[in-house]
Amino acid sequence: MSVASDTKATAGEVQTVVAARRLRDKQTVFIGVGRPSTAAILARMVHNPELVLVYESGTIGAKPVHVPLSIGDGELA
Amino acid sequence: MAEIADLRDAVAGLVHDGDSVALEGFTHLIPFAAGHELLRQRKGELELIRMTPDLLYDQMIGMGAARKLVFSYGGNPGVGSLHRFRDAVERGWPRPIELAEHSHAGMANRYVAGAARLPFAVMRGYVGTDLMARAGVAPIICPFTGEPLVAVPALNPDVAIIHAQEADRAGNVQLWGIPGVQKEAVLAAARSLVTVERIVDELEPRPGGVVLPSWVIDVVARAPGGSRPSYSLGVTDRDNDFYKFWDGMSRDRDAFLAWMTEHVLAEVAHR
Repeated sequence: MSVASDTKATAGEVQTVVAARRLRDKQTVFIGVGRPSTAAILARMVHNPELVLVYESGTIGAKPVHVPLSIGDGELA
Repeated sequence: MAEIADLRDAVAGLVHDGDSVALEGFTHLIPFAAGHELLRQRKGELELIRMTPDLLYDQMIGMGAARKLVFSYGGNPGVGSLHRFRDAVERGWPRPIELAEHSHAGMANRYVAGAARLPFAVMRGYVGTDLMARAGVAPIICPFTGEPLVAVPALNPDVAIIHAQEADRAGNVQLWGIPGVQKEAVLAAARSLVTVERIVDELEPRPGGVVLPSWVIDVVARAPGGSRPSYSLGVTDRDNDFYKFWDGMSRDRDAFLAWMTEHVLAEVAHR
């Protein structure tokens, strides 16, 4: 995937970044799949590696590297 | 004590037409092989019970096996609608289906009450939604604090069917990873079947492992790969591509029937 230097972020990408910033100083977050998971992964990578992710499937302290498709993916177990 | 049998005999002996059947496993460890065996044996008029009906129940509803569905969250997780489920609800194809919808927490609490042989469980939930009126739950006042709460009726299925990684030769079962409500479903049910990836000499304790002793299980059956396209942590991976494939293919009734005929009805159960 190539990204031109003048490419503007999509609204979804901005939402993801804003959400990740809001997780900067939080300890725990109840998180969903899709964009919220993307934001949580970004937050853990950039701002807050200790952030505890809690998913609907009951996983606490999940450390996904890839964005999960479902709340029960092995990525979160 | 659990009997160790093959899947075909287990399903034939435990599941009868008209039964209420819970095939549990919350995204993880969904007992597809057992569900497919129910379809091959043409078990019908079933009351299907499940948290997150998922693809397996889409298949069973689309094949006309269910008269009723008791559930929380009907969807293809992370992908979208279940099109066979939708077709049954909206157009009665291949037959109309009765629905009883709950929240996940409501279903989990119902299983917990059923497992404890209590008539109901108490929780905070449902308030502020129209499920309060539709789901057959009831307001209840805490006798100690006066707090308004919700009572949910116990769930006691005729049969619970789950999948696990391992059993030993005495029929003791251990599963690990995302645990769902499998233990509660087995304890709540009148009869139970556990399919397993493998049978081992001795169960090795695992972090977060859930152990079901042999005496609470009726039958254990070997079914390697029996949760695919769901997964068995540490043994098989979730086939996310299949979940996406299902979304397109299953929209068409004829394509669905052809797929089921080729991939489910024509298959031979694990022996």
